[in-house]
Amino acid sequence: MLITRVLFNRAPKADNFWKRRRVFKLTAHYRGRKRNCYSIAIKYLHRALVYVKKGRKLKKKDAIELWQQRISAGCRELGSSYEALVRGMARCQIALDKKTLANLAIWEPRTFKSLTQIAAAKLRQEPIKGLNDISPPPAGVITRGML
Amino acid sequence: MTVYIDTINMALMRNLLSKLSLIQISPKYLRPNGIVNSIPSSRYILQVETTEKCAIRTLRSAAFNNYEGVKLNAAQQTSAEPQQEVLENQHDLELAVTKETITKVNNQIEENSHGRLFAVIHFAGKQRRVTDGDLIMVEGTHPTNVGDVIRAEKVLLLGSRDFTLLGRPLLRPDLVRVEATVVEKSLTHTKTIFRNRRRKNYMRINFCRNHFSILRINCVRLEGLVDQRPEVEGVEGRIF
Repeated sequence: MLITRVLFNRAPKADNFWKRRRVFKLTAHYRGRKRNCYSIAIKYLHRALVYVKKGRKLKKKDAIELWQQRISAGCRELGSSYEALVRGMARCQIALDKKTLANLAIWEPRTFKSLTQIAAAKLRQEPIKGLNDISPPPAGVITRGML
Repeated sequence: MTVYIDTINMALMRNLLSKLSLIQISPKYLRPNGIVNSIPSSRYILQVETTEKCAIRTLRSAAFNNYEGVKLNAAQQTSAEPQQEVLENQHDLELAVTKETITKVNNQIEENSHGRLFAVIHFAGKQRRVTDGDLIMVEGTHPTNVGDVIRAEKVLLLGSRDFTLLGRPLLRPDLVRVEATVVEKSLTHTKTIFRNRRRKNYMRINFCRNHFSILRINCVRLEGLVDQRPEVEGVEGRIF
């Protein structure tokens, strides 16, 4: 009996159905032939998966941009500017980041206003070229030379 | 103190000139209620240096004197100044207001009437705005176990309804206390990392799950009084 011959048999061909099913589960929300035809769907799926990877970096970048916009809007409502706030705060050694500042601008307006006033007071003491604020200083801001 | 004025009228309306004690205006330019007649078209931008202790005087006294035109009077006292009003020190005023504010804040702390406090903590590389009962997610391996109570030591800001304390950059640890309990330690959902170079026969797929911890903030509270530093600092938590 030739039993060793069985060892040289190749593995049976894998069923395409399951391989394609893995793809169609991910493309179920696509339009037209991209949804149901494998050779078309696979191209768009590959592109989508690459976008998933790229999007993780872009999400962080977009979030930073959004925070900056929100802080800038909050500052302008109070007669200041984003640059004045950030540079004034840095000079006062207040280390709040953009995410926190945007949060405060929305949910803690009084805290945010006091931050803009502190930054403005500091820049009044140590002016930066190009960021001069000629409006009168706000009332009720007492620094006692501690800034 | 440097004061910027656009027009003299504007300044009068804002009652700034009364602090200046240096400008006297001839009566012929003054209307009865102290507003200056329109001095011809150009805007005046005056930059006046005052001494630290500025005398607050009303313009009525100036109007009674006979001066020609507008004069800047640097340091001289005029001979006829019948109505000299209150002499106030700017520094003392500020100090009084500061002390009043601090006592108000300390009263709220002592009576515990400030209400809910929120804090901005720097935890695991990120700043988070937290209050009592919040859940925060910390990505990455953390050497704590479920059930451990952690104290967040880097507090940048503490706020309540009526006051905010800003750290430069951090607040004192004997002033603020933020405590959290580790609630869950698990792995994130499966993230797919797919690299493809089209038409170049290059395709790689990897799957990734990261560790994370979820912390429940137990309390954000004030433990000390504002503006009252202990005699010895930096000893808390040390074993001698």
